[in-house]
Amino acid sequence: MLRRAASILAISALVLLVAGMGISAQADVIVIGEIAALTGPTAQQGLQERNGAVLAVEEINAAGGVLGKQIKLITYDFKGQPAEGVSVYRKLVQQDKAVVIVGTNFSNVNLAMAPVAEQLKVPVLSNAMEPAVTTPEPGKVNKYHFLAQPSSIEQGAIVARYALDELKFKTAACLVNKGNSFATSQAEAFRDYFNANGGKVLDYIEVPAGAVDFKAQLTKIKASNPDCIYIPQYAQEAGLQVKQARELGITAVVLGANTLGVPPFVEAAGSNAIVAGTYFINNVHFGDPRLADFMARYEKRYGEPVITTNVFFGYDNVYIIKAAIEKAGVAEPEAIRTALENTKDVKILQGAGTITLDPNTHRPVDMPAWIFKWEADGTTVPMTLMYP
Amino acid sequence: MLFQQIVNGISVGSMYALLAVGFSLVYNILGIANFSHGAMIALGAFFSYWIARYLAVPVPVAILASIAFTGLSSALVELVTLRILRKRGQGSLYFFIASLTVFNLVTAVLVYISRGNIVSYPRAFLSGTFTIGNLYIPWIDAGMLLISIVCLAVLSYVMFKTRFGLAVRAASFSIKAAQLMGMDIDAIIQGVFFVSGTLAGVTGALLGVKYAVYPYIGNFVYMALFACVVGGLGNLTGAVLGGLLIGLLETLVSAYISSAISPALTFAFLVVILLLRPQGLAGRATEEKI
Amino acid sequence: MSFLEGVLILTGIVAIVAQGVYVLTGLTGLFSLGQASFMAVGAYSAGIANLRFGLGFIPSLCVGVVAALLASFVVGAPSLKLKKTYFSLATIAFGYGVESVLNVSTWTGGSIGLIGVANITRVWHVAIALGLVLWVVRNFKLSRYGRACVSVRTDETAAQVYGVNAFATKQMAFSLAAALAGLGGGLYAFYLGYLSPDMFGIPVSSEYLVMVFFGGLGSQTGAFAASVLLTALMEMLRTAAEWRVILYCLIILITLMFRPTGLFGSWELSFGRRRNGSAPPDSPGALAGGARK
Repeated sequence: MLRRAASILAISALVLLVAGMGISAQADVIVIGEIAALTGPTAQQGLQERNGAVLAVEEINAAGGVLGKQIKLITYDFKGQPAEGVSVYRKLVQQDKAVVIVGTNFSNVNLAMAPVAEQLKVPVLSNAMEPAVTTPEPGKVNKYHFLAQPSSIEQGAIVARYALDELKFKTAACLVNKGNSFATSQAEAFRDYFNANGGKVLDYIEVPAGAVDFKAQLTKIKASNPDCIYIPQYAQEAGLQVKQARELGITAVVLGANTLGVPPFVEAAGSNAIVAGTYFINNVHFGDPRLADFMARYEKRYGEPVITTNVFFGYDNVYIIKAAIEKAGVAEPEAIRTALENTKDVKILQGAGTITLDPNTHRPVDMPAWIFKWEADGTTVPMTLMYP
Repeated sequence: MLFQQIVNGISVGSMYALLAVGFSLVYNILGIANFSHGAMIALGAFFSYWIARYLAVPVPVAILASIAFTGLSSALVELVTLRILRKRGQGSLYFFIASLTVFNLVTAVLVYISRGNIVSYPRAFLSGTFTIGNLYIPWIDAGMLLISIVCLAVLSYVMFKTRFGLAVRAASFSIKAAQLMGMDIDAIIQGVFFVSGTLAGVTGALLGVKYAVYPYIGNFVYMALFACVVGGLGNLTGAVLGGLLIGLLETLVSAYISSAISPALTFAFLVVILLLRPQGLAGRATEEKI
Repeated sequence: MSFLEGVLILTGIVAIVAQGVYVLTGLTGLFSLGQASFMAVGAYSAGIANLRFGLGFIPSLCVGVVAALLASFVVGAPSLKLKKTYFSLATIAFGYGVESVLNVSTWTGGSIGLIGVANITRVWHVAIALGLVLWVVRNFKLSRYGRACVSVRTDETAAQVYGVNAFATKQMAFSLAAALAGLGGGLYAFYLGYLSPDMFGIPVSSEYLVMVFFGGLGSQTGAFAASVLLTALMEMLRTAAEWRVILYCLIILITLMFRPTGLFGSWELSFGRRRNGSAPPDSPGALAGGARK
């Protein structure tokens, strides 16, 4: 009986602990909150993003901070789950007194956070590409949500334009993870642009979330024999799709999203030879001489090279926020929001080197992205810089 | 195209069959789903990757070495979870949850160690594809089918021709009766975990070749469970048939009905099949297990 | 709304759904991997009732519960006559079915999700709902229906010999569990104001199973305590960053090794009153005996 009572006591103690923990606010630092998936199936993206953000904060603090104050970056895990994202946002804002939030690059999480951010009025700078994150309906903008990369619609359309105009393709097939809004929103944009501008999407095949074997779908695509296949999936799925397409003897050119530009894609595909000839879009050019210095700093700090594009999301977002705080002149959420809205020509690593946000959509204005091609020697060659 | 789809289906099906055979061993003796099998699948993939990468040995050697590791890991899991639960007077029921937690734990640890990265074996193994007429058959699929058959043959030999196999079959029939006959039931269970672990190791390593090595690769264990249930619980043939059926159904549904909702349709078909044939595919009326 | 209120709301919702899992798994011995999907049915039905048909908070919640109830008959009617494992398979099929439909349908917003549900749920809503649910489940457990569930779990054939309609009993437990999941889902929809298919899946369902086992299969108190405790634990481990899930799993595993029948086994909190003399013999030993190995 006593042990039972002890268990119940322990429970109450735990609940109280939850209630009382984490209340801390220091006046001499500026708290930036970061929401990142540090565990779960998408942990790689979150861990890379945090690496980038931490490096940026360290650099800024070493150079004297912002407005004479040091930046404190607090990162919490949300396992890639939308409801947890909302809890983390509340925790960062209400308990840690963060003045601005960085993250995430998962549209579903930011869609869940959006209504809460409108209530609590602390701005979020995200890389969630789905346009509904910042503009839930035409003409209405979420005041406290910002996107710092080209939207999914722009990216899908750019790839379609490149396939039509530069590669002179007439027919295409899309293979889309139906459970991933990153994939669906880009694929829909690709399909609409491709069909509207003289091409024809022969197959638009949706695969269920979590699938790893795509031969049934690829065999169908092979039968309709398109010029190119568009696969805007995450790195692993895309790699497996390319591998399995080649195993089935499909020779059509493969086009994909920015997730195709990273080592995990090649690892999943198996070898450089398999991915050779694949095109993908990315607004970061890893081999750009402009980034060489950053790449060296990153490698020195973490002992490994940059793996995914998420590093740049984390790093650039911190610098965009730094610029906003300096412009606002005060580290208050509302002032930062106004400054973010009027972000103009802030220097970043992505795109052509600067970012300007549109106050009406909260998305970048004319942020370009490269189309790259994988070569057989395992390098990516930038073909052209495309503007939306 | 139909024949290519059937080849695709068999290649997926033989993979599920291999998964299901290893899974069904523990299932048959304990009557409970052992999710730590998923952990062993993931460890099999990662062990063979690490060995191939850091000891620079050929991939087949790495796979063989990793199989020994997963067998031992599986026996260790038995020792630190099931054994303790049994000693404390519990049947196998709570092992269900312990094994699920072991699975989640190992996955989380692998996420931590690998930083969520996706990797492939440093040297090509069973890569490429060969053609028969206009059928394209990847070497890894053919290899997997072959290895499944070899594993099944070896396992059948062990189960039906050795004293250990006899003891396992007796224990699968009734643990209590086997104990009354003076068998060391703990040793038998541990042996079964070891064998099941080695099979998980083979499967994991081959899955790693086929789909790259990543922390969540152990999720294939769910397919193993489904294949066992569909095949009719309690026998190896059922597990193989169940695996093949699910693979074929999944592929044909994706190809000819709807790809986007194929898991739902596949499982709906399976439920219908079981309504028509409640004893499962293998057709032997067996005792109910959870 | 404060951070704490948000956490309490989520905890309450988890506790409501876990009570359903307790009825289904703890009392009746059925394993469902579709509870999160019933939650999805409840959440989406309530959300759509609110968003597309302009229904209020309470009517929308009722729509969610009714939808989950209906779904439980669709899944249960064919599968509950078969072996218990086939029932589990049917719940998995249902789980995949719900996920696929939600991903494909434009009406539910597809994989991008249902945007724009009202943010209504407050902590006192959840507290009232949870109180009602605890009361209903407690009375269910002590009623003749609850005893029928236990008898079906322990030995289905023997129960039928004594005149228990096993199928009807299982369907009743399953529908009650589904209705509670639907209620939890509805509250969830009005808490988040946004729904997407990836919130509900088979892994989420298995988390509920873990909770009920962790609390002790035979104990309603245990199911409640475990849902509160584990949700709080996951929240507290937030500061552990990438160690979070590892620590969470380790804590569960170690606890299970020291308390092999879960935290509470089959003990119930009884508020000082004497336990009902006719309460079912609820030892988990009887449950394990169900497999008769």
